[in-house]
Amino acid sequence: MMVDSIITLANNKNYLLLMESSILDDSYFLGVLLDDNMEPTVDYVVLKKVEKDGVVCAQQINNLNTLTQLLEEYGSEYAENYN
Amino acid sequence: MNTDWKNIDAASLNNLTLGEAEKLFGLEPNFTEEELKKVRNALSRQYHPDLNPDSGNIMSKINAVYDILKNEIKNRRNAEQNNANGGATDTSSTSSDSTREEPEAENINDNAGATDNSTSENTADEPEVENLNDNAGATDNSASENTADEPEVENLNDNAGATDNSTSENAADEPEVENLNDNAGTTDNSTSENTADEPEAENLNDNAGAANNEPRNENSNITWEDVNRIGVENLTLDDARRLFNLEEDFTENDLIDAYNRLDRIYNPMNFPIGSEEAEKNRATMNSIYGVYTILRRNLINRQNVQESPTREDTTNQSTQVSMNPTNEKADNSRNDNGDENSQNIPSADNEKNDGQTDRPKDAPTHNEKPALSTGPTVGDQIASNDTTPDPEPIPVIKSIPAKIMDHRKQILIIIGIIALAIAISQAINLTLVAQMARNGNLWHLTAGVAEKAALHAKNINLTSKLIALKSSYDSLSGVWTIAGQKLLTGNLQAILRGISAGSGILGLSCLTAGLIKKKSAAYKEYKKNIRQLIRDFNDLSYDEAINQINSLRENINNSNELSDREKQLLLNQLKKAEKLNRQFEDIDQGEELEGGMSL
Repeated sequence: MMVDSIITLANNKNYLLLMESSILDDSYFLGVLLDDNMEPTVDYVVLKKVEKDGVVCAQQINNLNTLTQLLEEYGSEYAENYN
Repeated sequence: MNTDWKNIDAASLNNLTLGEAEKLFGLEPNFTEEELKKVRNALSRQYHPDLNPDSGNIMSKINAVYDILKNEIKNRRNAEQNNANGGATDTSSTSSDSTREEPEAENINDNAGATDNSTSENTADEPEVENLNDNAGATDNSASENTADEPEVENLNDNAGATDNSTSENAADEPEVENLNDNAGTTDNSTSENTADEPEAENLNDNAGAANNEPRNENSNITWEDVNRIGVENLTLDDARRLFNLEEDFTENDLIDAYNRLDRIYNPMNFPIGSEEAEKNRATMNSIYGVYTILRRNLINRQNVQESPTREDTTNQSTQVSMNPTNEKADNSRNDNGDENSQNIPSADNEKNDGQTDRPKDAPTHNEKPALSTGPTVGDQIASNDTTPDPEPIPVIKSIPAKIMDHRKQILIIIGIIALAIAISQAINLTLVAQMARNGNLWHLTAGVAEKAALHAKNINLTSKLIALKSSYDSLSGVWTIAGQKLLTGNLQAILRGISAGSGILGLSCLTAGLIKKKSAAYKEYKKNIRQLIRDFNDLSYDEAINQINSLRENINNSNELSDREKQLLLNQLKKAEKLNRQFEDIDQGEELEGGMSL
């Protein structure tokens, strides 16, 4: 999983990964769901990269504390990269 | 009133008496609320950073003084009410006379949770404690320390990594921390239980109220600098309350007042954008937000528990609370580093290791749904989603690089961040994110989130709405307010136009490139003029701005180079500009400000 890539999950959903951030050793991606035409939708998710039995998996994050932390991270990263 | 605000030392405001505050505002001792607001509004117009970018942190000084005076009004009102009720009340907290003469004593009595002895001993031995108990004391105290030791703060922040190695390393560099520990000479009158339970703590943290029959962490004297260093996640609830100068049974209003007080002092938006002070206060403001979150959660948990826990229960619970579910590693590493590292701010894990306060299994934490619910508010209900477990990981079966144009990606990221912010704000508490956005990292998103929060907050309570509105006023230019309002419509192009209008800040002129059809050169020129006019609003009077808008409107209507569609679009933008101008005028007249400040 890396920024600027489209991942396809086992449930056949495609996400474009926009930003990456880390908390401790975990990587979290801000992603947007793509529709059938591979166009971005309005559904945004935060996906955590996890390895399960050697397989790379994406876990959607709903925990508010984590999301809040990540929001700040993304905000600063955006400010650094685009301001 | 000839106050030279520029030369007033912000730190000196910490211990300002009522009389001095009155002098600074040029008020007579029996000033009325109207007089106070009048002076405040006049000063706001003169020094508000939005209107006077060179004013530095003058506005925060004014706000600090205003707080003192406003509290006096409140105290008077309370006293009147109490007198009307004929109740024998705690006159120390309501009498304006006592406030005038002994501000510290007033608040110490207010906070006297245990015995008079303890308060008097605190007062005698520890000026810091006086400050902590003073209304804005905790904040102001640390504010002055931060100001005085700014380079150290930076160092501390740099080292504020995961473990408390940094604690011990930095300890030598921090006079505040040393002082705290130096005061350990004070006779330790804490109960033998405490001593027995916490041998490591015997010589530590005795300074602040050693006479109290309270657990050690209840007496810790922690500054924002300490919080920046160790991280909010390692704070106990008691520390959090102390930092906000709140009592155990604090109410939502107490919490909001305390937050606003701190916010006025530390908000980086009070300083010129990109300035050193703004950067330094950003870390503190983030900590303040973190502590606010802890306290807010505690408040919600308290409200949701049918039977209020006893003081002792609360203390025990509070020492366990950890906001960050991931801080286990940090705590472990701290313990590995020895006892010294945990001296000032005991964490849940440390205390467990001390073997004295094993966390009750049913004690709610920030990540757990309260066991008993007594009709939570809408916000609380949503907040309970916090407990929703993250779904199972789904295998990634394919990953291919994507080609995406920079400006498009930028748009997606902005929308993504806004969407995330809104989702969180809806889930936790709509006002929180608005305030967080103010704090720093997300300042550029404030308008949208704050306005969104404000409108949604209508459904929750008026207080939230006012805070959000005030938040948006404090930190936004009108352009961003428009962006926020457009955000509400859900109209993507409108959002982008709103954001694009603020491109002076974000540099997002490219945002619209791919989304708006190619327009004529004349259209672009007019649009540029409108944008420039909006940027100039701060420098123009209401009438001047209206004149310019009308002039532009006339030109647009008479132009032969513009298509009808383009004319329509430009006239719409002028309408928005006109509306924005009216908002500025309202703000100028203090209407929004007073609404927000009335909290």
